[in-house]
Amino acid sequence: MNETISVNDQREVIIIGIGEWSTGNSVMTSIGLGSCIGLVIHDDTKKIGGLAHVMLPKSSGKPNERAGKYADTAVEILIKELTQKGSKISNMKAKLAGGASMFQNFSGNLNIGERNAEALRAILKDLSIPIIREDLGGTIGRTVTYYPKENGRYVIRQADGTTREI
Amino acid sequence: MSDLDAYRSLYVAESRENLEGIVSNLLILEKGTDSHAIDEIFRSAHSLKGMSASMGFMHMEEICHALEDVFSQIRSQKLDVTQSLVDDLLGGADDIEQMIDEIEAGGDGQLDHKDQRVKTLKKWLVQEGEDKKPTPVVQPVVPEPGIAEETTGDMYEGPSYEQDFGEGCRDYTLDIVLADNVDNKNLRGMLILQNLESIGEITRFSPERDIIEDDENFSGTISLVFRTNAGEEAIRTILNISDIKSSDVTGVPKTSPVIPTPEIPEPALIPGEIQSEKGTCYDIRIEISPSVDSKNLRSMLLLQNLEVLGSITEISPKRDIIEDSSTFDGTISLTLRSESSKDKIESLLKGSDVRTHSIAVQENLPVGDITPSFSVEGSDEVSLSKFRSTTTEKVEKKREVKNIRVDIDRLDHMMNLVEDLVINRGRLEQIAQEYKIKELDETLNMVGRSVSDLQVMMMDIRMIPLNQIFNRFPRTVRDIAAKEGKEVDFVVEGGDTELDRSVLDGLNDPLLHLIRNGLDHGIESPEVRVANGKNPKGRLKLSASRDKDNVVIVIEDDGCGVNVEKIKKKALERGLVSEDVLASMSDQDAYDLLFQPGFSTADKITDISGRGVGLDVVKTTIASLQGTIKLESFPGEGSRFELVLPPTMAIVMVMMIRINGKRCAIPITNVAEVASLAAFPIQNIGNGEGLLMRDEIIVLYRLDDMFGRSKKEEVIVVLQNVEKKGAIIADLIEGQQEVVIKPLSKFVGTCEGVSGVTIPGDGEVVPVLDVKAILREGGQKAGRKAAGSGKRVKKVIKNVVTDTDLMISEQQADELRELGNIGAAHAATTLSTILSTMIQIRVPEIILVNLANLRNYLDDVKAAMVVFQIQGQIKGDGYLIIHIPEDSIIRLTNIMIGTTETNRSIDDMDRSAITEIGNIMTSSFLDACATLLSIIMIPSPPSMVIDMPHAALQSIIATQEIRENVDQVVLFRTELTCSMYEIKANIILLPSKSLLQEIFARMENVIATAG
Repeated sequence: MNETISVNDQREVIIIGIGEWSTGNSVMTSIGLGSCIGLVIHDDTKKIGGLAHVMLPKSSGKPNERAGKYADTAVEILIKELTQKGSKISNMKAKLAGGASMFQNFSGNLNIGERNAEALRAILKDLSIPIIREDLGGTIGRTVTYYPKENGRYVIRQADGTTREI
Repeated sequence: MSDLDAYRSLYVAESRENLEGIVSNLLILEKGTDSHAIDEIFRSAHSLKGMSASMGFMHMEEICHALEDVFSQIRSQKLDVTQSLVDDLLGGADDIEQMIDEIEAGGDGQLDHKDQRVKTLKKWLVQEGEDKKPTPVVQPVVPEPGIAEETTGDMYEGPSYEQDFGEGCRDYTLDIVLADNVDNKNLRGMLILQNLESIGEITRFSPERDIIEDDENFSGTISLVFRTNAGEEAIRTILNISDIKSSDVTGVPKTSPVIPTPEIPEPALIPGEIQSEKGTCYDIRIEISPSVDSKNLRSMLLLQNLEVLGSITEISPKRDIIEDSSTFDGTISLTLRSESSKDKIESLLKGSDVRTHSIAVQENLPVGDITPSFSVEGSDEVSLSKFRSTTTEKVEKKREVKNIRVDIDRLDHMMNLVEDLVINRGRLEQIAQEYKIKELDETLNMVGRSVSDLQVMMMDIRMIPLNQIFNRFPRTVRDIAAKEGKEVDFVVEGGDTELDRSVLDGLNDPLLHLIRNGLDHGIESPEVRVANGKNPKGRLKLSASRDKDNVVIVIEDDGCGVNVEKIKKKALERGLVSEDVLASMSDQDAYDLLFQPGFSTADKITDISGRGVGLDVVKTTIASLQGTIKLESFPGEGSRFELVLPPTMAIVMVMMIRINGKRCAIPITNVAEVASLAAFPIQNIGNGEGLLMRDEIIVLYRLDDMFGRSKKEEVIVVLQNVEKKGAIIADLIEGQQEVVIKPLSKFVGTCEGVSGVTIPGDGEVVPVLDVKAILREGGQKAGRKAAGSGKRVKKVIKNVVTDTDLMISEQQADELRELGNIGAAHAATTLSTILSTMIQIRVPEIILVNLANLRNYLDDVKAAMVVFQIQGQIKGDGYLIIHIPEDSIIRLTNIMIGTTETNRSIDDMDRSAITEIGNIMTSSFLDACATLLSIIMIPSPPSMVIDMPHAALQSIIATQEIRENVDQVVLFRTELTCSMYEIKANIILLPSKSLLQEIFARMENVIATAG
């Protein structure tokens, strides 16, 4: 279950943890994207979309895995829920943020961030969902917020306070 | 009978072979897959009987005889092969085995319940005679008329038609002549006989039945006496076929109404001719000396001898009276048809057993003349088949000379000699090296090659295919499956994989137990299986294969698998583990419980398995063979035992090293690597030592108590056993050589760390390192004997917040907390020294966190994270993070460096300082763990980020997740506070599952030994 909090402007914000996701038209946010990627799929015609906190590139197919945790299952579940809510795939667009390499020099540093990005790109391309904006890589952690009703505005925030929008 | 003793071992060996043949063919027969099986059985039984008789083993002979009678009826299809029949037959086979054992031990094969057994077997015999004995089952097989069986030298009779010999039966004389142009006279003849027998009984044959059915020279003329109540018309109908040129039916006068038959075709009656048979008929009369013991046996032998020369067409009294009955008076009248000369026959009759005898040539052919006293099946068939089987036996014997039997003791002796050769060759090589004599070198090379070849050959000879023991299992499986009402398909593969004899010997019992286990506990009854959507027939597979040097044996079933809950429950009941340990026990660990002594989850103890003495004994037995056993199970799908065994234990290649001047040998398979100490310095970790070799921590084992501490340490030898690794330090490596490893003699007893000794050839006795023991000693002890608190596991544990389903037990939580406490205390001490001020530590929290909720456990304020990857001793790893929030960073650095400006941004200096602090604290933490709790964890060089803690944590966890793929992490956290300067720091430990296990195991060990 996602937690929702009320923010200053009385909007409800859904907080999405590692491996979680949500779809709808509420504001969604996810904290602590290091190597993880915040995957947004947005349908501007209906002003709805979804955000998933993707941690790993590929699921192993076991039944009780969290869908949002893996690139392949996350894309699948977002699309499924959005279509259930009336969206058409042809209207869906994606935005990606995250995939940093915060710790370069650990043995077995597996460039998970990069791998996540690659996985998502491949899967989305396969489904013909264009990635219209992305903010990937680097060495700095991100926090993201997605506003479906505001044309899918996707705001990224860093530890030093800087923000940008994609 | 001293002669007998000389032949005793030969008799035993041959009998065992025959018995094996009988048993395996019985199983084949039961399955109905091979029509030749009965022939094989017959041959084997016959040989067995004959040999036993000639050796004077009476009980054996009697049982064989009874078996033979039953086999004969099976062969002539009078008797149907059913499971209960096979059960009885196998019972007889078991008796035979018992007797053979007794004979081998020096006895004469007496069997207490022999009479009972014979009776049981005889009960199966279908009687043709006047009184119908209550025979169990036996529905006579009635082959469709016209369907012929292949007659490849065997005799098949038609069904026996139980006559009521009361009214309505008449005797007829039938004279039949087959058409000339008929292709297969034997076949046609047989068919006719069968057809006749479907309505009546043939009481006299001329020529003999087997001549009609088998003999190429059969003329096509048959004369029969036929009894039926079906009437003449029926007979004529049968005889009215194109194969018959002429037939004549003459009724023998008797009052009997004719039963009308459905069709009445026109009879064709042409009187035929009877040709004379080959050979001459002799009337022989014998009187066995009254002084002779065992008239039955003597007579039987005599009859057998006679049958070598010809065939007994008539005999009085009946054969089984002669051979079995105690009422037999020793007088025999018989008719022998033979082509041998009268003198030759007579010579047989002149033995000392025979008091009087007479032999005369018969003038007339026996049709209609002699008082019939033979029964159609039984003795005559047996005698003829005996004849047949003896000839085939002779043929087989000629073919067999390629193999010879060798006493196993002789082989062992040879092996010892070869081993000595190996040792002495080594010695010679050393001498040659010392004196450098060229000719010696050359010759030694050649000798060396020969010795090596000899060695290899000896090893090969000692290698025995697993079939040797596998062969017995189908029978066992059959018996157990039948007993339990289960249907099992038993598949055996790889039986030709070879193993050293010594290893093979020890394998029989464990394998047997595992098979029984699979049948008893694994494969479910057909109903249960069908209910679960499975094939009602279960599958049990025994397979063997080679994997590199080892032999891998797998026993797998597709049964219900191991019930983990049941095991855990039983373990708890038996006090083998405490609740705490159980709660966190993985499935694999639960399986390991099965190997504990006294463990049995069988609800009732069957006599097959379930006495609870099983799997632990299996494990120790396999271990004593230097092998390993592993269990995998898939609930609902089946279980799989995997045994890995070394192929041989005698001659091995070792590496010779010197430690403190003393030599020792290490089997090459246990050496992973050799390196120079200069390249990889020793690292001290608390009480222990380790080596960092290419990103791997290898624990160093000092063998000081074995060799003393050397001053010339130069070489690292990395040992390995299965997956474990460890290193020892040596002075130097001397080389590799092949040696014979001899076990420690009983005087020395067992010596931890030494698995044997070898004498490399210079006379010195060199110990062989027991790598397994060395690596184990330094490693963790399983510590399954928990403190046995008996407390129930609470849902919410003090200071362990669980927001997931995963729980660690209270005891484990305590252990972690203690670890954290001690570590943190030391880290705090270090910090306080740096800061020259008091530091407070908060009681550590141990949190099991769901990944998604990780964010709740740390403030999302920018902080420095100094991250170390830590490596446990075995496979465990994890991360240790020193977390310092942003404000504290600058304050901390200021103290360290001596600046005072707090209102500035973080620069490289700060970064340095923080990293350094992280380093120091971590070292303290881990050192403390090592020293006090013997948990050796070695840190990597640090990485540092100053960023959002959650992102950093997430990135770290992702690298763990990619391996572990769980949804929870164990987060250990303690907070250090310096109130004076308002500095906070957190020590966070993120152990992987395997590191956690390692920690827990170590701690339990410490607790246990601390007492």
